[in-house]
This record gives sequence, structure tokens and C-alpha cells, in this order.
Amino acid sequence: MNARLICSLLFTVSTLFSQLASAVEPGQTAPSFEVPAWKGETASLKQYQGKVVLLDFWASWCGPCRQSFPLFNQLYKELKEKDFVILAVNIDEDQKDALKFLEEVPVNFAIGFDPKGKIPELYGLTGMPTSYVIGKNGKIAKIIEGFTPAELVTIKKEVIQQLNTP
Amino acid sequence: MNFKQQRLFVLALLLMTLYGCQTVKPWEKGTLAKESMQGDPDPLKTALRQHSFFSKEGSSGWASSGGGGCGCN
Repeated sequence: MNARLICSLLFTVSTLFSQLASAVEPGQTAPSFEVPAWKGETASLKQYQGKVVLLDFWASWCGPCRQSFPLFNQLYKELKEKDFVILAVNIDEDQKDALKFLEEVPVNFAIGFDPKGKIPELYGLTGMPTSYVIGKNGKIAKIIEGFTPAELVTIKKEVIQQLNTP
Repeated sequence: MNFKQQRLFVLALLLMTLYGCQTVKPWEKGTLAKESMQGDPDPLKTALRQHSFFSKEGSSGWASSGGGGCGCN
């Protein structure tokens, strides 16, 4: 077996397992998108231009989301008078699962639906849930992977810092 | 086809099967998260059964130690 053959085999195997999507990083402009929201409305990053956005990706089967939503409700209640919004994009394949979850865990912030998972693909998500704090300039300020109640302190601190940034 | 060529052919076939391998992305785990997809759909029930089973068996097992048969140790 010659070296050329070995190289081509290695190349085939490496391309099979390579990650094609590259993840967005802090400092980069948040990729824009538009998703269906409640009652035939649409939600997009563009409509929140000039505001600090907490973009959260969630699913009904995601355990930590059950913990994060009540805390996000609280955070939004505290800061909604300022230029702050929360957009939680659901990635359940079946919207019914998401609606059932929202009945159990009601929210006071915006929800979007992306059953095909195009936006997490765009953002190159590496885990669920993942939240992005996006500054007024539309750039990603912080990425929070996973969620524990202690993370809320980090998120709140970053949001306030972004709100105070002109 | 000589032996070397046959081996190469089999290797190529094996490599082709790798195309069936897919990395499940974090947002695609909805189906995998279902209860019916778990190796053990009811871990509590299994633990309870194993506890009494190993206790009654009195055998040295990986799950529990043997006992008098009441399942209380």
C-alpha cells in the first residue's frame, strides 16, 4: 500500500468527522435572522437594534431551561424599562412540545420558533442551552454555555455593563 | 482480482459505511432525550428491583450485597 493511498484514506476519514460550522465568538457581529414568533408575528434581531439583547436557545427537553426561564422572567421584569430585551428561540421539532413547556413555565419575554435549527447552525452552538448577550452595537458581548442559577449573576452583570455602554 | 485488490475493495467498502456516521448536533437531541430512547426508562424502578433481587439471591453482585431476603439492607 503506497503513501498516496494512505493519505487519501486519512483525508476521507478526517473530512467525515470535521465540524463544518464555525461558532461565533465575542466581539463578532451577531448574525441576523428572522423567526416566527407568537400569533403569526415575527421576531428578528433587526427589530431590537440599539437594544441590549439576551438571545437564548432553548428546547422543551432541555432540563436547565426549566431553571433559567423563571430567572429570565425576573431579570426581564427588573430591566425591561431600560433598553433590554430577551429573545428565546425554541428549537423543538414539534412546536406543540414548546407550547406545552410554556404552559408549565410561562414567560414574559419574546419567544421565537426555529424547528429546523437554522439559527443554532448559524451561530455554531456547541451545547444546549446557550445564551448570547448582544450589545447595543449588535456585537456579541458574552456567550454563556449551559445554565446554572449562578450564571444569572454573570448574565446580569454583563447586561448592565452593556446597558451602561453608550 | 488478486488478494491485495480484494483487501482494498473491502477497506473501501468499510470506509463507505462511515458516511452513515453522523454527529448529532446539540439542537438535534430532542428525539434522543425522549424517555423511550433511554437505556433504562425507569431508573428508580430498576434500582428497587435490583436491590431486592440481589438481596434475595445472596450472590455477590455488582449492584448490592447479599442479605437475609427482606431487601432491607
